[in-house]
Amino acid sequence: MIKVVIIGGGWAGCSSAVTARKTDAEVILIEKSDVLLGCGLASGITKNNGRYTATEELKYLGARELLEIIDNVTIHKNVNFPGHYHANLYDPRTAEPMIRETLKKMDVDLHMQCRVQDVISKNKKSINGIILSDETVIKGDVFIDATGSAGPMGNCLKYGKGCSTCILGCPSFGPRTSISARAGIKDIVGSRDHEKCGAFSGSCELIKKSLNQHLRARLEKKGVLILPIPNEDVNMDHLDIKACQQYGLPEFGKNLILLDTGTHVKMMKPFYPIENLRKIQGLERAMHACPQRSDANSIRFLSRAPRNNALKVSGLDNLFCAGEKSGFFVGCVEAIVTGFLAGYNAINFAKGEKLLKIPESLSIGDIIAYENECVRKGDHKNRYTFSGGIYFQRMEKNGLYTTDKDKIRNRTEKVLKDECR
Amino acid sequence: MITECIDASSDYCPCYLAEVEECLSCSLLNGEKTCNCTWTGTCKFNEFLWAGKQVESHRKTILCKILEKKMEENLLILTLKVPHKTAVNLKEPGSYIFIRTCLKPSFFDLPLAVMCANEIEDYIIVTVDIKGPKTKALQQNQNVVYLRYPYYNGIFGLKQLKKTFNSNCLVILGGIAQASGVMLIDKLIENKNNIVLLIDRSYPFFIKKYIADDVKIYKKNLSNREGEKFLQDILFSFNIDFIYIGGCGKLQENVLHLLKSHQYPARLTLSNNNRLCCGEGICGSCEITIKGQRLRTCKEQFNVDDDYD
Repeated sequence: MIKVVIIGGGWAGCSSAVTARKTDAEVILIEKSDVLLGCGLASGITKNNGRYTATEELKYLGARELLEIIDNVTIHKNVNFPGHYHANLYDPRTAEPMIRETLKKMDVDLHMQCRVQDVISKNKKSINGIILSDETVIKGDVFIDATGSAGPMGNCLKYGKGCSTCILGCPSFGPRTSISARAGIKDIVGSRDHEKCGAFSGSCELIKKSLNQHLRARLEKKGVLILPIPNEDVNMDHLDIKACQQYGLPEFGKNLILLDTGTHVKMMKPFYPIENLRKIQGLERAMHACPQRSDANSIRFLSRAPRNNALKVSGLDNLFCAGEKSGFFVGCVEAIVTGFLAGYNAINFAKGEKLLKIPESLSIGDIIAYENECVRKGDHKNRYTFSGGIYFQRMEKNGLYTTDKDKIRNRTEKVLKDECR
Repeated sequence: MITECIDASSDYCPCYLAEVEECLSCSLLNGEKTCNCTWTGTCKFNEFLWAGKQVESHRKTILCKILEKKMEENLLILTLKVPHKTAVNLKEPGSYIFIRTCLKPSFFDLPLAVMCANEIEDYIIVTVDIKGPKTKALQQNQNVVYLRYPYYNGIFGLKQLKKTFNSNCLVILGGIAQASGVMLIDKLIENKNNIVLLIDRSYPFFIKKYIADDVKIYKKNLSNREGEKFLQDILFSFNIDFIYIGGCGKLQENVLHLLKSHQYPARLTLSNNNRLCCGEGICGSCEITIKGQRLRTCKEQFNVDDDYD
């Protein structure tokens, strides 16, 4: 029986696990912390702009499970905010237990609070097994590196403002391990300007109850609040340091944009010192939920593996990558897309079949190919998401962006016919 | 191959190696661009920055009183008064100190395995084989010596040792390195292991009175074929699953060769026989190369089972 080992239980790793388990393969999912989703616990926005198109494409390709869970925990539909249209807002914290149930139901072998420390690679060309921090060895036929690119502490310190006690919990659960790097393949490091590496996570969360009642009621009704920032506190530099370039618009510099993601309020700023935050009407008693430090956030995009468009890591026969590990991608839909492809191709590889490269006639194939092309040309600064920035511009220009379900179904069906006989 | 710095996350971390971007544990403190650590529970980079990018505490040389001085054949056995905390710290297998006569400069520093540490009466016992300039100088008639401590990397495979419980253990000791076996045996007893002690006859059995009575002791000359045969019999008749070899390189080689030729699976630990000079990873005299990777053995642990040939 084929044994697939997935390292990292974020959106990407979970998506790979679901996809791979649809065959009779044994699937092991390893997560260092005690909950799934990782950085994805601070997600919550989907279907905005091109994410609508990508989500539909994925559904027609058969990757429905996680998207349906997101639909189930969606609180606001069809919300607009600056630069973003028809967004759905969902609560990732209520999605986590549902995802875990789904994975268990599908018989994915979940290993929580297990941190991978090293790989066993006898011939340096493929991975034979991984070694956990308690020295347990887990062997497998094919591996998926979905360990993400955020942190650990040392990076947040060197390129950020230190550990912000974010959702990843490096001090408690230990840092992530780049599987590809441990196997001898050098990571590609993202940059935000000439000197600085990585980028700050683009948003943080406030405790909903700490907003005043009036503001809270408005937020819960509309899903979004746009609060002008006092002139003296407008800091346009924040726009450059963010991971999420789709939210790097001037409106996001001049205003505080709050989104209702259920449990917490998502604040579209990498960080906002609490004293300044409390100057804004209605936020006099605001408290940060995550990260707990109000003046810092995690550093991301320091660990992208070199890969081909089938998401196989270059230089290793049986290692695939997904999520931020596979590209400078931002967002849950992007993670689910790459997770899906890595899971699918891991099985193809193990069966000795041809690896799938999703054609560029679909946005989910195009983003993987386009990101790779840009990175190969040496661009380590741009991020790629269906929801904005340079990639959404490309989607619009190339006619990939549409909200016409029939159109999306037709082109997805054509791809299915061509690629899968 | 992942190695671990024995001092990582300890009172003496980050050390001088961090100041010169040579940290054995943190990639950022080793001149690399990104963090790629093996995590020992603290972020060394964080500690280093908070300490103002310099070493906060380093080991110091202090004067210690000699409580007892005994000559047995060519061996000088010293009982030394140490501060309470030191006695506690040194009561770990693999502990070692640097010692020198109070009359001579620092290049007389001699590394010695701690044979016993008593944290009730606050003393340690070490044994010196009188051989060369450093050791001869220690014979001089003084009642104090200089000590530098605590150092911990006198045994490779400490991780293996710590997780050995209720197992059959073979401890092979020979030469001056048998001093390192005393606290190791104590640890094995504490963890309810069954111990067979094999002593190489070609050297005085000077640790005898420090070994618990119920340990089975065999004395053999291990350098000939008969010794080899005996060792082989012990391995199989006692069903050994943990082995410590505290002895010279030749003895270690012989035993490892035997294990390999039988493909005998056992957790392995070895005494650190390399030339230790500064103990801080600075001087490089203890450096060895395993599988193309350079190791500063005064500080670095590696997995003996996989990595030693």
